[in-house]
Amino acid sequence: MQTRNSFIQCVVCQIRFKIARSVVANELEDHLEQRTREFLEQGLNPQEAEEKAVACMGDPVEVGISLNKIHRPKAEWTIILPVLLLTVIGLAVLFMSSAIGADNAASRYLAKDILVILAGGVLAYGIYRYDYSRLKNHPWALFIAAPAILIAMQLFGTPYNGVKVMALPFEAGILKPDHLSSLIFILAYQGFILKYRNQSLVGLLKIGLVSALSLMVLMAYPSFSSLLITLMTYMVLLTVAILKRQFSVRRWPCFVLVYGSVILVLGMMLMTLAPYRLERLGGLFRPSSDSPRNYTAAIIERLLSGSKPFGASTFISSDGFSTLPGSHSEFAFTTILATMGWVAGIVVCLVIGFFLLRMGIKTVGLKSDAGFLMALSMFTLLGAKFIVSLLGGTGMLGGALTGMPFVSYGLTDYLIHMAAMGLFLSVLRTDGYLAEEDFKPAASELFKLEDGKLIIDLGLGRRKGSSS
Amino acid sequence: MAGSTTLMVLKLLEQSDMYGYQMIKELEERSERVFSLKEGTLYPILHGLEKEGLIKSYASKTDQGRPRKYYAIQDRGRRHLQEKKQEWQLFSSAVNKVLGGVRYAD
Repeated sequence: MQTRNSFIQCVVCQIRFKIARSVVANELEDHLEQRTREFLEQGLNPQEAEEKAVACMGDPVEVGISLNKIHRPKAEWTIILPVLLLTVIGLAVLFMSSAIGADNAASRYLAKDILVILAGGVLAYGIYRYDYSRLKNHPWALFIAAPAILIAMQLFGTPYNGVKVMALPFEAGILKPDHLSSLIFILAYQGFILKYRNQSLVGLLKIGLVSALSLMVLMAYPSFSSLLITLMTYMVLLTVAILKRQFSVRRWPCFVLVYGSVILVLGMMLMTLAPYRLERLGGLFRPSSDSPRNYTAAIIERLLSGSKPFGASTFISSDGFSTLPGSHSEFAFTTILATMGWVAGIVVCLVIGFFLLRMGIKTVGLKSDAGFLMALSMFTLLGAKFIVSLLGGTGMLGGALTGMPFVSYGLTDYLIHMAAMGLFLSVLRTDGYLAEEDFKPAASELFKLEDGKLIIDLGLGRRKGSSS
Repeated sequence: MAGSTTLMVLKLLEQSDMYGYQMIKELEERSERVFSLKEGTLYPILHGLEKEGLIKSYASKTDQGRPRKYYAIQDRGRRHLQEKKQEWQLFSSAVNKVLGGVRYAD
């Protein structure tokens, strides 16, 4: 006769998707234990009780085969196909900018670019197979790794456009450390939220502190675009965490505190460190002729003037492509509009819209808290970059701040965006299968009025109580 | 028979959240032990229903501190149950008519 363990083993062996096995095994174990206990209470001896309980379950192979059919990781084509499509569009942009002479070196990069795409695919697949949930256990390690990369680059990097980057051998491309650090900070941030969420206001303050430190590091590098994207992702994660009552604090005073301090600090930083950014942002709200237009915005405007539904804009046909400053990869959308026409631009927007919609729907449906945070981070990271690159590409931001995910050619960005997609797919693959810590927010409020006294509860006593 | 088990499982969950073993016991009692399905086959049904979004599972700790998997019916599951229940009633009344089990005096 079969024992309880051999029965369970026999069932789970049929399930090829290994991550699902422990969930199934635990559930069957619980069932068999209760059935065995019932037989014991009826007076059977332990061995008989166990054997009889197992016999009640039926054929383990049959059960296992049925479960195997259900527990299969789905290929998320609604996420993968838009990414592939955007990659192809990116190659077309590269080809176009080379054809019209915007970037004579572009064709030289074509072969290299295909290698980058392959590397991105391998990276995304590797991360997809990785159990992302391990990352949340090491927020401090990640938090230290991110600035360490930037410091190492300052010491050993190659100068490039005013910052230090890592030039790969054989002219394979450059790695921009700030984009990588930004991603690592965002990964660390999720760990901090999960770690400090039961500490009410103190937890929130700790999160504020690590956010401020990480943003200062990015500012010091300096990388305004990484800072902006990281800050946006932080804010979305924190807002959703507070809304979902992950922190046991009154929500609205908290929002005033969080947003108030961010706006204050950001405003001060902009005014003291980079006043020209304000002028650029001003262009966004005053797009009329009296606003200060910089060189980039003027070129974008000229390129886009006379753009047609299909094909190159009349301006390009008559005057050729004026060279945009900086990296062309950041003007991917400009190139699409100016060389392929605005119908192509609309198609790109639709693909991006569909991709973000699918990501959003998938994120909302997630079960696990850690998975939700990870998916939301990747959704925000990619979504923010898409929006900034679309606005930047039409000249609305007075310059381009970031490349367009999957479309822009560039080693670092492509790899980082593929890594983000890999993380997102990894969440979808494992959702509901990974062990989750039980979390119940403590039911207390920051400010309480009792007997005419205002009590401010920072959650300190509760924390001590729970750790003892 | 798999279809009718699905129906009964949804009916049970419509009343309260339950875990697998609890459902088996309830089914046994309510059907006065007419139904004693092979207990292992309940889980493919539950997991399949969850994958289709008709029910949702969550972990909750037992008194002994062990995690236990509970199932809760979702809106889609409630709608599905209503549809299937009507189908079932139609079917069983048709069978009854054929068998002549129910006759109404004019």
